[in-house]
Amino acid sequence: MEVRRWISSTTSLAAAALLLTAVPVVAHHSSAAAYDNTKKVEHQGTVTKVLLKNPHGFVYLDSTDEKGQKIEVVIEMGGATGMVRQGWTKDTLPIGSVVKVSGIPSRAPGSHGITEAKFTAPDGTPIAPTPRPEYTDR
Amino acid sequence: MDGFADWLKSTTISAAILHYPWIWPLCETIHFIGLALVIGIAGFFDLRLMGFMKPVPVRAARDLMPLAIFGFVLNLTTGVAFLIGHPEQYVNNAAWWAKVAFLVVAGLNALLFETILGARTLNLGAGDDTPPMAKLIGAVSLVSWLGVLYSGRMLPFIGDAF
Amino acid sequence: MSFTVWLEGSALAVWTRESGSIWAYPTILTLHTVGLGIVVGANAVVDFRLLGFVPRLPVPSLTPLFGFMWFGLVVNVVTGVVLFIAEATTRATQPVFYIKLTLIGLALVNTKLIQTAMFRDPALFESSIIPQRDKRLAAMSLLLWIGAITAGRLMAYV
Repeated sequence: MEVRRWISSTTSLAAAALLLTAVPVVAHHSSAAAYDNTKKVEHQGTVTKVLLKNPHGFVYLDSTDEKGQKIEVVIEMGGATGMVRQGWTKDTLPIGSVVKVSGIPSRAPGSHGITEAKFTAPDGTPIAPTPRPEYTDR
Repeated sequence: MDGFADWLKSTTISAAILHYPWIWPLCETIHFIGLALVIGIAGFFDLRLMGFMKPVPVRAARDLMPLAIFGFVLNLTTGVAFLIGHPEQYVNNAAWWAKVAFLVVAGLNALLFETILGARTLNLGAGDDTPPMAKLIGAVSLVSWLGVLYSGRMLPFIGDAF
Repeated sequence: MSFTVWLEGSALAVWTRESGSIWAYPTILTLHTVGLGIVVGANAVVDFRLLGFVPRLPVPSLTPLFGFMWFGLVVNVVTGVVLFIAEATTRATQPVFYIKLTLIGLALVNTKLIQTAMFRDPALFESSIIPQRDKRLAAMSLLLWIGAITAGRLMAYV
């Protein structure tokens, strides 16, 4: 293929491609980019789903906002590697249990995402897993 | 160490790094570009020091080093930005200290080559074998840069700060 | 059941994604980074030579670098497939992933063009004057690989 035509067509394709990436559809990753650490939010809700996985785990709560509208709170956790070591299992937050969560909110408008979360029972008792003995000597 | 981390976290620069959502992803992207430059160029030179790719004149392979240094500077800068932005993710993380240790070894090893042991090796031309000390320096360099990469990539998985 | 759901449910995908072992997701991701260091790094050495940065480096001596590039590519295709199936339903609908694959594809074609040009007539590169078309291919190569790295990193954000 003639080199000059290759260069110009590849350049335009590559430029178009990279311009597309400039539109963040859902900012969901590293807390600095996707979450606002100058704010704090709290929710109370029912646990509907717990995903312990890499690169990030998620906990889903059914809750209501200040206006009483039903919302889904999506709590972004660390990766399974770290969480398993800290003692997290699928039963740390049992499905159907009511919990309180506090954390920093997602920057995405309309989202009820949270990260850097701390969980407590409705009465305020902290919920924290016990580190698993076989993993503590890392 | 926690006091140092708390102080970093209280600075205006730290808040600024975390305030603009595009800064962290941009720094990460630059960090990956820098690592490709270092691994490629330093790796190439280290392999020649170890006696591989003999048709390459040793001095000519060394000519690329300023570009590797450029890559390293990119990573040092973005690395400092990460440290200032989220110090607690690093100072309490065993993987980060391992990365620092590998960096120190890589740096001292390079210094050893540049100041004491390098001159004779740099005169070697195409086809020449390298002396045992050069092979050792090349191997230590390659292993330590791969160690830097490995411990860096493992940061979110070792240590619980993330 | 859709293909991506089936992939995500496979034993390999579940192990990669949910295992707490350092040898699962973390190691696969790290090998992917090593691979990219080798592919882009080896390409960069060739590209810098063609752009005229290191005229003392004989072009024929760079032949082994293409072997390294292929090795790095194999590592990244294998680890990339595993990383993909671990989150197949999300990744399959992620535009920036397809942008990354496109940029990699273009970069590989570009590398092949460089390889053909370099070794068809190595004497052409013995002087410090590299033909303009080959300089452009080298610059293109650097830009495409930088683009691929950028798209790859942005997969965690968009």
